[in-house]
Amino acid sequence: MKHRFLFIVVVLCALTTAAQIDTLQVLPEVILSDSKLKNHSVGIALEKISDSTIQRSRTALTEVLRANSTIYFRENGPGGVASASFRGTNAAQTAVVWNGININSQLTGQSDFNTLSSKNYDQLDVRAGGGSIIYGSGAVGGSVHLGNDIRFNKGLSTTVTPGYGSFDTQIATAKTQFSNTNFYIDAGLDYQRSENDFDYLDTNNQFNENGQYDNLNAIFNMGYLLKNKGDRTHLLKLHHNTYVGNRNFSGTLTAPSNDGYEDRNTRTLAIWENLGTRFNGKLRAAHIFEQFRYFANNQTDDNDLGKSIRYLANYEATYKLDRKKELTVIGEVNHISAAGASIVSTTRNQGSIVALWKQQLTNQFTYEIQARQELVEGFDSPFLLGAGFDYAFAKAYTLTFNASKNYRIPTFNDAYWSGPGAVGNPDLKPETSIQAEIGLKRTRKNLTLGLRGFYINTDDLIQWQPNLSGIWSPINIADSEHYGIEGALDYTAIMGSHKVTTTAQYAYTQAEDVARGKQLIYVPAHKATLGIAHNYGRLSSYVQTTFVDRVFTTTDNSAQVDGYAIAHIGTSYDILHKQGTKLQVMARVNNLFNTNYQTVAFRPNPGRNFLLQTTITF
Amino acid sequence: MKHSFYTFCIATLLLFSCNTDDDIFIPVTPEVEGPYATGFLVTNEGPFSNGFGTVDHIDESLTTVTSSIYQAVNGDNLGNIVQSLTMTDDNVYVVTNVSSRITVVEKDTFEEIIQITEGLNNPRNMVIIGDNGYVTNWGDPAVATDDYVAVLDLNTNEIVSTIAVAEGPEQIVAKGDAIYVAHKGGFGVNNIVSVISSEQENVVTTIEVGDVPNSLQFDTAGRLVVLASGAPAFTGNETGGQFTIIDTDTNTAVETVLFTDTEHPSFLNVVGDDVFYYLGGAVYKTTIADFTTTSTAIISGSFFYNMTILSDGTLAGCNAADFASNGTVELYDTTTGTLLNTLNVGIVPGNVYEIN
Repeated sequence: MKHRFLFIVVVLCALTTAAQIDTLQVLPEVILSDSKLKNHSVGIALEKISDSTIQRSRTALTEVLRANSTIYFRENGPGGVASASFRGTNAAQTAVVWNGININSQLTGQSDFNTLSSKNYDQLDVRAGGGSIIYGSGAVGGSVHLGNDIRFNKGLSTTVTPGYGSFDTQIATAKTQFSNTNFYIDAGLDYQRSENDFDYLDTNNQFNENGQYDNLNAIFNMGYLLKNKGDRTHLLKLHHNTYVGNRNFSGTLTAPSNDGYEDRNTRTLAIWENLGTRFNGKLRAAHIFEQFRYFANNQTDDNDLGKSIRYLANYEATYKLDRKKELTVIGEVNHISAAGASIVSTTRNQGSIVALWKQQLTNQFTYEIQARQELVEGFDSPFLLGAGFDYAFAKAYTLTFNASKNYRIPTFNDAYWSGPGAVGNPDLKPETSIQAEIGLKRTRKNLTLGLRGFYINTDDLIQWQPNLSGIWSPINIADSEHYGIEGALDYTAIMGSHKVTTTAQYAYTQAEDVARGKQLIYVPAHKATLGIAHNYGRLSSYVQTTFVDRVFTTTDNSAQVDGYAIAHIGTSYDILHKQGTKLQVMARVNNLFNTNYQTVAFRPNPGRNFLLQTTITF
Repeated sequence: MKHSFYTFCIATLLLFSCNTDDDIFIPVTPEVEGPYATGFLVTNEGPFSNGFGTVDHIDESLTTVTSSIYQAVNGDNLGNIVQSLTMTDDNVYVVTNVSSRITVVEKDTFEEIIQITEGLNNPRNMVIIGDNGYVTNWGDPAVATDDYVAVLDLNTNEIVSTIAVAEGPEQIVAKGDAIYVAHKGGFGVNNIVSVISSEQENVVTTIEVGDVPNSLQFDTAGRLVVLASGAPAFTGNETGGQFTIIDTDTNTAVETVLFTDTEHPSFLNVVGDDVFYYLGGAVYKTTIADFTTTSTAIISGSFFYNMTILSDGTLAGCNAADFASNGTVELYDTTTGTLLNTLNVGIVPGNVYEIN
């Protein structure tokens, strides 16, 4: 969870210091799937979730991020639909980016974080703040990044992690990878299934009925070095991800349910990278497929289907004028088609051009200017402009600033829905936001402190409302204003063989509907997380705590879900730890104090529960 | 409303089925005395996919609201989506749709007598004949063939039998031993009124009316007046509303008036010789004898989720606002069309009932 601000200096170093034999050689040791993330987040807070943190939790991304970031999740209980709220923005204003590509649903504009796995990705980063210029529609509040790396010369290794937990939860993760001097390949699987039939605390024998789920996430990545001579490197990469999820939607305290839901998602991305000392060119082509089936009664085969297929091609050219000036231009085209039981079959073509100018003015000061113009069939897309700087001073301090305009395009549901009681509106405008943030960071030895303030003003928020005939339809109705403060602390203390790591985060968020003057629903004013990990030789232990303030559940703030504080503890021991071989056992207690809490009204969460895992690496 | 879009749509649909209550009661002077012995009751459906509905009380002068009286008295909630309520001299029967439950309370105190859940599956509305209650049930909304009317024995508070009916039974009224059920069609579209013999407990006949019959009531001559809203545009086969008068002796339609294909009226209220209905944000007044679809609106620019004309002639309109916050009951003078008062009630108010 170390906050990382990587400046152009660092990036250039990474590009040049990797040279092993020939100083002109440009192949970095680790080839990130999305170098834009670190290279073009000037003035923005980027937070990496560490491998060990991911390993501790169960598979769903919701579970990892809820305890380790300031993102607030509206989760309909474990396994249910979970959407993210970043800085008080709505679910469609957080982008999920897979290997550099925004994968939010074309149908809903959102990502369900319970259909995303946290396992088998090499990078999991949380980027707070506007990112629409680079990542497109929906990156308003922030974005979550999943990435797979390519590494050469690492040989063969395999890791297998089976686990078992309460409520008959079975998880298994396996990944194997091989690489030599010019070839890389990996394949990973993770599977989880759960009866998920936990008791509702403080009730008369009520439990989580109809909450079963199982899902399988498969990844496949490949890299091939075509040429690596002189000042030119040619590299081919392939990333693939398949997700198959089956689940029932559990009932609530007051209503039973017999719904079922199936997710089938695949993503494939091919990249040809042409890297040089002055010029980098990257050509990408991607195919992204999403499909769901909703079963109103999971005892029958009757279902409603919705799907979208997206083809994407993009070329990214970076020209380094000198060591301190860099211009990147990205051109992208998308062809998207969507169909379903309640959607008018439609296709949408969109194209965009992005320009990024970055300059290191002095050793301390780097700025970047970003611009994007998108053309979407049938919609007027705003011209987006953003600027940021990083200013390092007094050795340990960095002052950062970023301001940008961002947007969210109406989804296929918004525009083309045609189903019972509701109809889409093809005349919608995109939601837009103007936002700014300023941050101060102190990094010294083993202590990192960060403090940020943000302001977001969104216009033309799309909301579904009934018209006078009682038919629900979306309109650009509301404006909202968000401001707040975020603080982060990382501290590592080493005393002899003991190492204690402390990470803490806090967010204060005010997010108001401008017309009502009321806090938006499901936005807590305060959220804090605190994690303390202790390591002694082969033994590690940790405690993770999360505090969330109450949230309102009605737009007039007349009803609320109470705030809560929960704690998880865990420990792991390396039975075997040799070069290239490892055997580790892990145990974890979730919700240690058996706290009865809800994240969405009338949907209780599990009380105290357990998870055992074993990791074998060979 | 940030949940699954489908949940949202389906929940939305459930809401569409709220309408006027047209139960017929034999007026009896109440002998009961208690805080809720007089005045009005408001059913609030409650939020969509979670939470619970409530019942509010309004005093006789239509000025003071007491919120969530069931909760206050019993320390419990009525369940998810409070659909309707029905009264006898002594009791109130609150029908909760998603929770498939009827909560029986004492009329004057709202103290709970019993919760009935056995034999109910998506219950909607109830009518009473003698010692029996008749409750329309959708069954599984995805299944067209499992809809029924449940027969509730009011003495034992048990469902004693069921009468299978066609898809989507909604409003239910009674005249003598005959029961009339309007079939809106559940999540689909239906266009019939079922006639049920309460003695034989079977469907005697069905009468074709307009698509999606949403309200029905008897006129002063004892004829059944039915208002259908027509099939909405999303069905791909949009039809206009239809006003139908049924002779209950022959069980045949004796008069039919069509609206235009894009007009979808609702919330029929028959008051003496007059008829009120709601269409596109406006309330229209016409007459039974000369029903016309072209009269001038008496109230316009309103957003009603339901409306009821009270016995003193006041129109009580349920305004559900954004369906995610507390709603209001708007009281109008139907002669002048002026807004008399606005009362704050619970989330998604579905109907106003006169305690009698």
